[in-house]
Amino acid sequence: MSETVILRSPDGEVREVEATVESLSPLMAHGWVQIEDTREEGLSRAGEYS
Amino acid sequence: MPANIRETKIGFGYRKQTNLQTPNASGDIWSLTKTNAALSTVNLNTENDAADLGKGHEFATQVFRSHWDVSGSIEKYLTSQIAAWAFVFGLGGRVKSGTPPAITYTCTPQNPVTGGIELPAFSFIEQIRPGASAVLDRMAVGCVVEDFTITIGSGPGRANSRIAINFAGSGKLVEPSGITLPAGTTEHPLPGASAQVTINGVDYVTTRNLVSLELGFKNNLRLDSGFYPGSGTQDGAAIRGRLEFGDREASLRFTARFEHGSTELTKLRNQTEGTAVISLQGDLISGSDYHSLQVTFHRVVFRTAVVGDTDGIVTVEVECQPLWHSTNGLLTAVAKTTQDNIG
Repeated sequence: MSETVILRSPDGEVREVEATVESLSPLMAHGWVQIEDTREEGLSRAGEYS
Repeated sequence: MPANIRETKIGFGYRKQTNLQTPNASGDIWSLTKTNAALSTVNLNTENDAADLGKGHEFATQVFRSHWDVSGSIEKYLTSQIAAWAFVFGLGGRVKSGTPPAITYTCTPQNPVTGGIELPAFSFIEQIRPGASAVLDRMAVGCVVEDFTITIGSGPGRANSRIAINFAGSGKLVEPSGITLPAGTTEHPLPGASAQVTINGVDYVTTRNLVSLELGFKNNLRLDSGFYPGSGTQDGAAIRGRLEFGDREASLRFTARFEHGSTELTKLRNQTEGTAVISLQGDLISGSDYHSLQVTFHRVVFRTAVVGDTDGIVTVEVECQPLWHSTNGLLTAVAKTTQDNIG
């Protein structure tokens, strides 16, 4: 199974999706952003990207 | 003592700055090589009062510091590390996946609704004999990618796969940089010979017809609007307080051998639409993960197709027009590399 990432829509909807071009492109093109994994990143880097 | 330009060391942030005026921390900087000798352009612009009335003559009597301009370019043989960096900082929209040592960055042009119109910024350091006898030791803070261009071509050697990145800075400088550059990052080439290229329904690798290809993205940064009331000063001259993108544009052009059955002219005439997918692959990272990149243009048509010759072989030079796809957007660029936390 492909790896998944967690994205948040401009409206606040959170969705776990496969980390593939096919899955990510439509969401990223319409403003979904990744919610970083705070367990990996550390609190100072936590949060949305871009 | 004179210095050789090859003594130059460069480093720049692989993580984004927290804001335009705050430099990268030392641990967020990596040291890569480049092939162009040009140092970054650091220019203190001045104005004089020659045109001012009231002096009784047309000659200058004073010079005033106006504003700082910083720009630079990084030209390199293409590696997975710099491809990932260029996608993240040049496009702005980024999703990171994977676990070390194989990290995947999926990037799209930044959505202005959720991401704003400012791109991630980085600090750029140049040093020649840093320390007490420094010839040059400076850090340009708040740099943003203006454009990047990836070129793959025919012929032997690393030069058949290259990238050129241009950037502009806020104008803020830190001299001396105060940074001890890390050891050079080990990079992994993405050779042109590994290319997989399918454009508008034609697999140009299977047909063995591709001669060269160039893809790029340009942010058309709004340089002048970076200076505004309160944008900041350094040594009495203005610096930028923001670096926003303007009308962004993607580009894709290629040259292929033209033979009986080639469809480029027909597709131009009919304005046939399709996708364009360009992939490059390097060494194995681990398992089934390779250093790689893949750029997908979700809709392209041919804007021009001109038949000519390359080294005596009949070729067609095609310029594509990338179009916005209502579902998938303009393009998606994916890079897989070993460096974690880019962006």
